[in-house]
Amino acid sequence: MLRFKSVSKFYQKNVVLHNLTCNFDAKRYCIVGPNGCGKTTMLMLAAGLEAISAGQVTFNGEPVNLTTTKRQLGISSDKLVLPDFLTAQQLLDFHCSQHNCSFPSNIINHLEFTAHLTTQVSALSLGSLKKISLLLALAHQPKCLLLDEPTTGLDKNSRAWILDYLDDYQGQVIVISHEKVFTENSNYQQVALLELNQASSITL
Amino acid sequence: MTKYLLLRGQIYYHELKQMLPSVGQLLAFLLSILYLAISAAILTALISLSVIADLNTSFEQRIIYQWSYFLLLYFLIRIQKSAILGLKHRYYLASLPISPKLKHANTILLTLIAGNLPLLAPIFLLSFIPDWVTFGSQLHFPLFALSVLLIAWLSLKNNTLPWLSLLLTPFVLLFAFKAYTVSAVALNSSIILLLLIEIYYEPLSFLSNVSWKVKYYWQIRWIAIMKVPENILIRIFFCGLLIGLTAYVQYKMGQTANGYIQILFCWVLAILIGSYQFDNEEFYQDYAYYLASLLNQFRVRYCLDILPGMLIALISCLAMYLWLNFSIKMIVLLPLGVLLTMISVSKFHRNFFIPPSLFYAVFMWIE
Repeated sequence: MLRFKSVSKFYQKNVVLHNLTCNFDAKRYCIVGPNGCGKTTMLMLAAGLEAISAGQVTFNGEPVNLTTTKRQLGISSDKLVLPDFLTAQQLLDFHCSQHNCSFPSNIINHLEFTAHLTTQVSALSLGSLKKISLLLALAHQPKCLLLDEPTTGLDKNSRAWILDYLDDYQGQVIVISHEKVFTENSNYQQVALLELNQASSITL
Repeated sequence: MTKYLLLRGQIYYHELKQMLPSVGQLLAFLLSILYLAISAAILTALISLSVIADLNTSFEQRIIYQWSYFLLLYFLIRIQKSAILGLKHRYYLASLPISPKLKHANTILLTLIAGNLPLLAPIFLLSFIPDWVTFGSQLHFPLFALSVLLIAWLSLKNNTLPWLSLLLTPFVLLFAFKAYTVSAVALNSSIILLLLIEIYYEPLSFLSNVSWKVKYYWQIRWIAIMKVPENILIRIFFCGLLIGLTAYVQYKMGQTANGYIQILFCWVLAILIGSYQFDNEEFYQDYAYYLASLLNQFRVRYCLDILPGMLIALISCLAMYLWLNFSIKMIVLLPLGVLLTMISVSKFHRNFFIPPSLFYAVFMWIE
């Protein structure tokens, strides 16, 4: 279970999150809110990639910045800039070696990404960048998936496949999206970050 | 024509203006304290033209002087490549209804400006050749001037480092052909041939494009360094140049530098090698979130990333000990200074040179 306890995040004097306390108990969440309200920052904090100004973020009781916790999380976000000097294959090889998982050939085939494996990340199109980002998040089958606009830029087939895949995914899925497939999906509990940020403590 | 040239000129100067703070940061120490040494280095390159032009220069000396000149020119233009070609705005520039001839003419003009004296001086010196008879008897120098132009072209055209012509060839010539007599004309003709091969075919480009199966963090860092090898190579080049010049001065004076000079030398090398940490810091900044998502610790990555700098320091102090007859304590002082400089870069950024300067000042005082 992902838990935010009195979490605050400031960028200089700009307060993005203020004393946020919330527990993500359900299997599916969709975080919504106007642009710039801190959705991606919240995802970065949840993945342990951004330093917290105050408070604590834990997953199953352990701080998210611990190596053991990171193994249980998978994140895909455009804000996470990948090493663009590597090929997609090299990036995936390294990822699989880190997480001791098998090469995600099955997902690669479904996302029709095989032809782009030898392409350098810097030369990938926007849609292919989204695919490699999703592959890195999914490859080690984490207990909690954190996805920032997971369908943006994907072609029709890949989009349909990833939506089905997420529906059947065994672990927890937290997405940020403005797409109706998530915002009007009853399987996904909607979280309005702006309101959440104003309330002091909420158990979702 | 004038408006297009003005646009390309503005792009060139805008990019240079953006590049200068980072170069300034990298060379903050050199710019603030050793700025005379920088101008001296450029002047040394120009003075070396007299050695290159002299038909009686020995084979070994010719190789050292010519390749030092080539490397200096290559790096000078290579670091300005994006600005010269307007790479950031290439799609916009390509969309303009300008003829290819005009585009090339503008690129040539900007290259001449970017290459500055090291590019223009050999061409200028050619105008002093009075007649065709002298031209024929001094053919090695026109050939050298032609190779200088080819290097300018190579640094703009190729993306990979010219391993064959600029890096491997001088070593092969120095060690394998030392015993043979090779004339200056034959040498410079061979250089032109090699440069043309490198420009058109890039026979050793695989050295820059090896596709590894990446399993460890150090491989990622190595690939990143090899993608932009100029920063580390320029340091190796300057370390070699400083050690070579010191060896030459010691040989001419017939004595070894005293303790103060040795520490001063270590200080300069430590700052030069240690400032490589700016590259590591830039890497951490560019891929901050990706690196934060990795399972290894920041400390482990930091220790791995300072290894290339430490390796250059170790090789340099071995060279200092074996070739320059420096005292054995320099073998410890240089790596310590490099380590301190690298940590200082991470902690103090632009003021990084203060702790290592104090460190070496203490040793000078003890000395």
